[in-house]
Amino acid sequence: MSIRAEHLTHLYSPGTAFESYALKDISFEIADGSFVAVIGHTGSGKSTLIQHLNGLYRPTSGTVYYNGEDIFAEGYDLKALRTKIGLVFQYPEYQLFEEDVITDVMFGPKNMGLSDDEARARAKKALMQVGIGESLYKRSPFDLSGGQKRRVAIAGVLAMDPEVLILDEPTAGLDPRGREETLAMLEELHSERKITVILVSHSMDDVAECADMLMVLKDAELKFFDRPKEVFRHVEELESYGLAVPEITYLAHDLIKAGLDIDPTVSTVSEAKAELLKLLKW
Amino acid sequence: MNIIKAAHIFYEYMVRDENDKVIETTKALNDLSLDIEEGSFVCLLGHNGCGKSTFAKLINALNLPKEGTLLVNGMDTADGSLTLRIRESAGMVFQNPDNQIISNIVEEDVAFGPENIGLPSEEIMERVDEAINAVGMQAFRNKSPNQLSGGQKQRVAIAGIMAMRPKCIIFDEPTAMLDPDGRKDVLEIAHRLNREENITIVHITHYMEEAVDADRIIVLENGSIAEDLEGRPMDGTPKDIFSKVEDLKALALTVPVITELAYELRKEGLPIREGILTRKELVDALKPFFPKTR
Repeated sequence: MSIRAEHLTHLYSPGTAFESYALKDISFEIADGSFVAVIGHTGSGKSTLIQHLNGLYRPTSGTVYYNGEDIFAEGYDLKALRTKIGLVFQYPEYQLFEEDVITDVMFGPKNMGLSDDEARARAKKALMQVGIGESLYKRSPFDLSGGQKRRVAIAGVLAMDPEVLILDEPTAGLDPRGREETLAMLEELHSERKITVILVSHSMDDVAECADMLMVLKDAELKFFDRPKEVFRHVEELESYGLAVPEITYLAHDLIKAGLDIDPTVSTVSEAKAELLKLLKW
Repeated sequence: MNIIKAAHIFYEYMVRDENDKVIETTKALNDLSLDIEEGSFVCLLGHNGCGKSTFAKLINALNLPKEGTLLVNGMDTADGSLTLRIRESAGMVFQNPDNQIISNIVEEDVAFGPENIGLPSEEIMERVDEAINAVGMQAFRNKSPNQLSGGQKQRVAIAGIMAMRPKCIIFDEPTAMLDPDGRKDVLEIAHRLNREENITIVHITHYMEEAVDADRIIVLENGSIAEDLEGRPMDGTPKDIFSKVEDLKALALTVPVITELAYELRKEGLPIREGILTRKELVDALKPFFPKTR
């Protein structure tokens, strides 16, 4: 079980003066159950890439295999695929539309042809997983706080019981607690539901905390696909792509310059703390 | 001189049912008093719903306090005859860049404000030039805003406010929707306008890192200035405020990662000072404890 992209290329306005690559010869394989972060400068192709993974965009050439099947082959059931690969867009709260929270979350499962009862059961489970309590079920989604709306929108996708959850910057615009809660929720879904999570992010610090694989895009090309720590070794290249490494990794580099023999790939507060407690003498 | 003086202000939001009956009242500002000194760079922090944005809208006279007095540049916001002058002296930049741009060409967008107050065209031109230079958008002045990135659009929005020659700019989460590059640009411009043009900046943000270089941080909670665990107001320099790690966490906030690491090391008994904010400060503080032989 996996998502495999083979020589995926997407050309905008082919044959005109405005021809440009949105994706250029991208190949990778995402193993089942992994937590992958996709990072890249604005315009690098991140959002275009994830919309190929559930068949919203068709590639100019190359293709995507889901569980060994070519999703762009004739006769492939893309509608069924989209219930297995759930996509949460940027600012998903703008897509809430029903009169109350529970009905909004039931929309997806009902659309899949499930009965009211089944859809309601799915919606309840999804809402529980995102931490929305029963007291909010009958509230209008528009009366909720920003963080709550975002979670209801994510529940709407979860209720379809996807095998893969793709999220485009799910923490953008949230306050610190909202950010922490959203990331913690994704880690839990990943470890408990064994869902494959693909997270588009701008924050290297968030990525360092939760992803086990990191994909770096630059000008429509895939530059790195490796464990975050390995990617963070390439400070200068990342900077030349308009990206940065986590603040803690920069600190490790500064400490090495100052004469401390610390692992240059530490990237989180807890790792740095453990390393420093081993090294420092007082 | 205080450019903003808030004395015991209250503000409420009301939720009404379809018969216009009030079914819920939320106190967004609850006896808030604070003064902001002219020329300073102040950061307002607090979790969603703490009253930050409500306060910002009151400064701009978009809303009026229900009780209490709010003076902006010496003018009472409750006096309707002063509203336009208040908005000239205190401009506002919002979160979503797309909601703030109205024209098809950058320089026309920047000229909108000065045109609206009926200035002669030479003065409009002069102000537009100055404002576009101040935000470093000269190369884009004849471009269409829809060809710009989010960060560039925010710079155009800031130029539009600069063209009104304000004394104070309120930034209501201007970086929330931007990528790291755009965020850096907008923050640098805010600091430059503060330093070089002596414009008072009130910056509302959820990114703790953006507050590190402010002159002063004010934390809001339940519509007034938050208190630390010992009951003292959370109002001070970044060093003061970010020394209070536990207090900030109790208020659903965080500290910059470097500050958090320093705090964690202190908790383990490493004798370093409180309130370390930058990598350089932390490296300097840790140097005495490096092992002697390598």
